[in-house]
Amino acid sequence: MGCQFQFDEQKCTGCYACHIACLDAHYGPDEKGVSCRTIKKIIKQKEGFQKNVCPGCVHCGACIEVCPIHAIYREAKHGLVLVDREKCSGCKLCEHVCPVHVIHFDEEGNMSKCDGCGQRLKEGREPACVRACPVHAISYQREVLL
Amino acid sequence: MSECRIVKTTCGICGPCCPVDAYVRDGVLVSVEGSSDSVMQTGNLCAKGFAAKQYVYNGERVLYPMKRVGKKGEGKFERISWDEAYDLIAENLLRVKEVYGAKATVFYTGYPKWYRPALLRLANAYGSPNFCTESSTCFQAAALAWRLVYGNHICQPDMGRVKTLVLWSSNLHHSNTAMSGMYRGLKERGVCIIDVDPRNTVTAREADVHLQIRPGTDGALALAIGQVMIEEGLTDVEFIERYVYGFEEYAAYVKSFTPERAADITGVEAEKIREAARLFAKNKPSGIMFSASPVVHHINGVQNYRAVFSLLAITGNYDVEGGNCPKGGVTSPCNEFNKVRRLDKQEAIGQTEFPVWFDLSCDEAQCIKLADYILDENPYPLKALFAMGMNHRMWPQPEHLQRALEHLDFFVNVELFMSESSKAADLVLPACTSYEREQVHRLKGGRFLFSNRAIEPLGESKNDIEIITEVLRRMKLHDEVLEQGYEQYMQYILAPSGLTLKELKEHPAGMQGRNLTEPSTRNFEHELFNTPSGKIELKSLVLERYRGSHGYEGLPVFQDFRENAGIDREQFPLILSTGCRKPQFFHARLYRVEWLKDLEQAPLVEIHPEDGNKYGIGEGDVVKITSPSGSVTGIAEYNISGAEGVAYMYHGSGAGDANKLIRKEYVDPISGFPGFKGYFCRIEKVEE
Repeated sequence: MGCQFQFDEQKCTGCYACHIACLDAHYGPDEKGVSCRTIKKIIKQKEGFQKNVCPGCVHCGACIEVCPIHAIYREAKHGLVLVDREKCSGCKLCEHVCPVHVIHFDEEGNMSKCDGCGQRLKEGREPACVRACPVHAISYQREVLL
Repeated sequence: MSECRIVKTTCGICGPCCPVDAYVRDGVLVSVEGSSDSVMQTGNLCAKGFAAKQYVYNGERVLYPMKRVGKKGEGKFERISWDEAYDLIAENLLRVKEVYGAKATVFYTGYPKWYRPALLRLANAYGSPNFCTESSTCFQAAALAWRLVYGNHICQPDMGRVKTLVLWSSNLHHSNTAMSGMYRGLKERGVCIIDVDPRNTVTAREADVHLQIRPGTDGALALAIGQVMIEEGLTDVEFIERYVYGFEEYAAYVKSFTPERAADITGVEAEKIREAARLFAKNKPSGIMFSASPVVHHINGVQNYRAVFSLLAITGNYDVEGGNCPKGGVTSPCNEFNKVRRLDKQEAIGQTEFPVWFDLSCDEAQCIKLADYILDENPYPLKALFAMGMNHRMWPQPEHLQRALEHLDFFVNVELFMSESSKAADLVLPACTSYEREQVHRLKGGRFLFSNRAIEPLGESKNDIEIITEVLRRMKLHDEVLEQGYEQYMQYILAPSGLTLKELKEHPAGMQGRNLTEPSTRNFEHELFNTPSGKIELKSLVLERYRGSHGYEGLPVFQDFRENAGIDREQFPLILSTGCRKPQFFHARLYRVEWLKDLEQAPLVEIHPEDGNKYGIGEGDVVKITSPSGSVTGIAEYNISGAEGVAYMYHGSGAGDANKLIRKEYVDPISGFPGFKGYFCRIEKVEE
């Protein structure tokens, strides 16, 4: 059993609420931080329309499969895909297989990805991005068969 | 680590003041979230609100009273005590009053708006007619346009029952994110949405009909819609006969605005104009959702919005269920906001140029020309400025105002941040954010909410109203409401509602007032309109008063800024639209909040790729934008949501302010509002 975050690109209005809520949930006011909700531009040329959307990790586990040193794992309680940053060697294989392009490496080669707001889940709260989205474009399902 | 506690408070970063659950540990704000139990809110904040920590604990916060020690404008200050600061204010303001008269002191307030009535009380007690606000460039012109037609306060449609809703220039998914859920709900209920917007925004894309006009042509579109309604017999003849003044002249005027002619002016296909007119007139009840600024940030703005608002009257959608209803919701009475009257015995600034602003009083002076009044000492000398949140970047050609501020004898700015405008001040006083003070909020539905103090004020910062009250006392002036102190002031606000401050504090989700006024419609059947004719005025008798002196016309005439501005279009081929809302900014204040600032390169100049090709500009290129009033440098980005020939740029950045490009004399002659969203420019790549 795992979990799944879903993101409905159609519903997203590009308001950035989730992007900033993610920063608020994980960083202090003096930290620059990296939001786990990335920004992607969608262009519909024929319709003369474009918008930015904020996709995030869907906890699919593709990165687990590819990690040569098993630094990425699925946590048991909430089914989240997490990284052991001590173990991570910075090979970036995970970055290449990520279907939504939401795994990042900083200049020192440290990997960062969405932690599913595990701490909030423990407290019985929704993940920050799910709670923040004004149009319910992001959802979290706790138990899905993988 | 100790436990987090949740404090029920509110965000004060922009206008709506959304309820917030502040997570506080050991007296420190650690996280924010939309209030979990608010009755009126879906429980979310916008991007701006979620950046609260970086706003509250910002390195630019003013923490102590600061007195200028360098030359004016140099930005050198030293810390002084509050006592010393209050004495300095009293001494200087009383001196100016003694030498030049009370009107030589201007009282000014920027955002947020909550303490406005208290500052007006101070201006009144002091005796100056010059109480001014940032509404000299925002919202009031829209309210003025409405008041000229209907004689009362501008109102939104009855969202619960409306069947056809016109969103006239409002990208609410980005400008008012908390309304996104409501908007989607309308769609689910099957409401037909007509969106008028020069850009194909995320909001426009969800509409049934999108009328993608060229900026500033709103009036021509509205007149053409009126023409179709009249020609096709879709108007409410009985309503017009009984309640509308000037219809025949209006009908004669709109006759030439055929959809074909309007298509040439607005760029919207004639058939789409007809479709919108029929939908609005037939699928009733219909309502128009107004927006504070986009329509009135044009030099024909008030007349354009009058043409838009007239559509409610001619189709009988005014003050009916599902239409725009001035008394459409439950309300509970309270004191203060919109209840304190400005002193109007003496001529205020702006009164000569913009008389209608004062005839239909909004209880503030029009200070768009503040810089000229200061520098030219015309209509009379202005020597002191007591400001709270003065931000010169709200004005066109802001550098001109900054110079004028440095010319004042005495300028106090009460601020959250050591802003650029503050650097021109003699004294900068630290205000606290909404997280650091208590406040009584009046909400929709006759509800009230108590906003708690989540954290102690940073440094020696104070609640604005406590500052105002102490300034009043030091000058030995009197105001019976303020003098009672802040706790009593909050109780005073609530008193007419039948609630006590004590019980409101005990109800974290807020309370509905005990004294309630139920909604009512069709009030026109038993009361006259508050206009000179007593009717809805398609031809305004207030404007007609100034036909000779100011050249105003009673009908909502359309004048095309592209023909009237006298600008050489060969030199300035692009239309420049500044300040269209972005989800992450609110005027100048949020450029200092890194999480928000980092969302895009700044200052960003958005152009259509066809214009990029035409002028040899690629994405990410450094570009120079030049208008008849100056140049700024920015970074180009393509955006196909806007039409070819229009460049968009947000304002307020110290790194390149779009407002520098707007000539200060380029204003709507009725409201004084600058043509921020319809000026002219050219764009060139800057070779590196």
